[in-house]
Amino acid sequence: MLRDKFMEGFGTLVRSELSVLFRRRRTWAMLATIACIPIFLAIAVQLSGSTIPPGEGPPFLDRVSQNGLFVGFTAMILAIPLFLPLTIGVVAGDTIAGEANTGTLRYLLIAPVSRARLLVIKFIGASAFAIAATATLMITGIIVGLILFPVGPVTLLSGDVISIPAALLRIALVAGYVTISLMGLSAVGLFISTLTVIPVGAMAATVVVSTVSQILATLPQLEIIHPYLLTFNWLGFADLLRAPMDFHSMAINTIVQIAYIAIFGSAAYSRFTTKDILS
Amino acid sequence: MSRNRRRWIPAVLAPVIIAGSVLGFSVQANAAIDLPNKSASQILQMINTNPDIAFSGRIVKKASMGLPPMNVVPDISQSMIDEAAKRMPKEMSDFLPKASAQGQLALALEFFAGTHTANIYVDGANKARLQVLDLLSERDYIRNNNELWSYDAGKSRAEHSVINESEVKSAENDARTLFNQNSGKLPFDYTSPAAVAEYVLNEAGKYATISVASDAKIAGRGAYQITITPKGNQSLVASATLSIDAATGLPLAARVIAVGQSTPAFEVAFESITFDKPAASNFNFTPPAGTRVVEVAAPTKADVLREIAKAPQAPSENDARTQLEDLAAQGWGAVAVIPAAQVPAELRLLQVNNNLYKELTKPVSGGRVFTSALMNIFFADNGDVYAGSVTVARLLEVAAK
Repeated sequence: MLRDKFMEGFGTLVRSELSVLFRRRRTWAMLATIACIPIFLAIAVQLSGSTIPPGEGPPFLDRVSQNGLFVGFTAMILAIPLFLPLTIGVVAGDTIAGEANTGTLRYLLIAPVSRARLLVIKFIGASAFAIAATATLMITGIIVGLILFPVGPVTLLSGDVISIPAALLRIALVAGYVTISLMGLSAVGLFISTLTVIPVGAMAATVVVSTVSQILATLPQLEIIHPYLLTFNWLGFADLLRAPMDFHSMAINTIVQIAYIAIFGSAAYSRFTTKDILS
Repeated sequence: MSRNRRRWIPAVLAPVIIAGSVLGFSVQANAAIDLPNKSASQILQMINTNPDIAFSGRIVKKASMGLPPMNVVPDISQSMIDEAAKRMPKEMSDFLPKASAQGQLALALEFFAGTHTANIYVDGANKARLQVLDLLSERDYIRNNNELWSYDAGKSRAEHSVINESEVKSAENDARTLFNQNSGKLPFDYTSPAAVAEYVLNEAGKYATISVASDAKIAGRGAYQITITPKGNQSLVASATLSIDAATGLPLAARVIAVGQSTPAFEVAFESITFDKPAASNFNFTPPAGTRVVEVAAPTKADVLREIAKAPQAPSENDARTQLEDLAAQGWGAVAVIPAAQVPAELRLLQVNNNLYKELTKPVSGGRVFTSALMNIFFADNGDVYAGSVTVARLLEVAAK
């Protein structure tokens, strides 16, 4: 009985957090911008008219004009380094610092919600945005691809050709892979957000973490720490486009992201539960 | 206050637990194991010679040859770089690749630099596939019975050739006849693996110390290890280690350590392996639509003979033998000498035209040297080339003779 009640209360809070998040104009503006990536990409390829010689431009770009299903993959590769982390930075950096800044944090905590549970709810909200962001990008990619280009069986990196339903499954897996990557960054953003009452600072710091991590991954002198970097396996989703499907990167990336979620989640807990809430 | 302090426990504990499990995992992976003792000769005899073996696994190749920092971009020609240099502002010239390498040269340089991961599938002698896992791309090299395929996803390009069975059979027969005719001349009894192993150990033992290293765990399997340590101080190789699976005799890893280095200069090792038969679909390849397929005719015996005839002043059989024997007599301090007349024209051209040559070599008196952790090459001004896994001083000493 008591447990049901707890879950019910928790469910209500999650639902209210999600409805606040997805009713914000900022959230929709960011999702709309994300949707623009595959749209612009497809239009650019369509207008250029000429087929791009294989091996030029970003990976997969040369295949877009032959098969619309590649729009999503190419857009994902373009969006991973900066654009998706940027939107996650805005959402995750805003979680606690945003409430503190507008003075609503105090009222949230007056209601019988433990601070730990508030953190979990905020993390669920940021993760929901990560799912929405990757899904928006992929689904827009599929729709634009359907409109502008012929769609057919998809050629994998190994040269094998798979049917459209099998390709859609792989698209979903790639979106899942990227979502998991972004959840690791969300946990970092959540922690940074407990450090300050200025949301813009937390947002910027989160994006800086992802960018610095990517820069470190390009320095050969730091090869020894590369496997532990947050962003090191982010592009590994290409392993899902091989035959046989290779889940090695998926497993490694998931473990790394879970480690980051555990470390920064507990740091956020310790910081947030011991903090004096003044606003 | 104490309650607040307790709340910091998770923040401290989480990193500690994670660091601990990372450490624990690597300790477990490198855990010492002890296999029943074997002599070097017994380990050599163990090496798998059964062509019907089936396995698949992941291989990681790491090379740190100490090459000069270079900026080789494969498949950009020098003229493209020059063109780009004209269009770019001078301040940005640092971002241009310093040199280019194309075709086989690019492949060779890639092999000697950096880290690569590949999946390998083998089913008997006639079915094999190497799947090189490039970032966001892939290269495949597949043999399915008589069909040979190579596929480069990044370039959408495939090469295909068909092995001519009768050619292979006749080559096999030729080799067998030659072997049977000459087997009496072999200084060991070739029908006894033990005798062959002893002979190899004896011959190699003249120039190197061969020892059994401690047993290791590689790709989760127990492996015997043999270490070869060259005698004398002229070689660049400090030691070479071969690891052999205790159960199947398949070599699982090879490591070469250069003098003065603690990490291997070159290392190929299985990261994971299974001895299940790989699925047949791994070896089937049909070039996808839009792929440029290049048919490469498998060289016939006549082709090979013609190519050999074309080589500039091919050394006679006797010359070649004396050269080889001379090399062998020098042991690990061996220096190969290619007289100017025998240097292939392609290499000549490279020396004149390609910036890569200047980038990779540095001037010494009388020519230029290419240095790396395991190999030094001296290009004398008169066109002679001296190469060996030896110090530059030794190369110059040989060249001065």
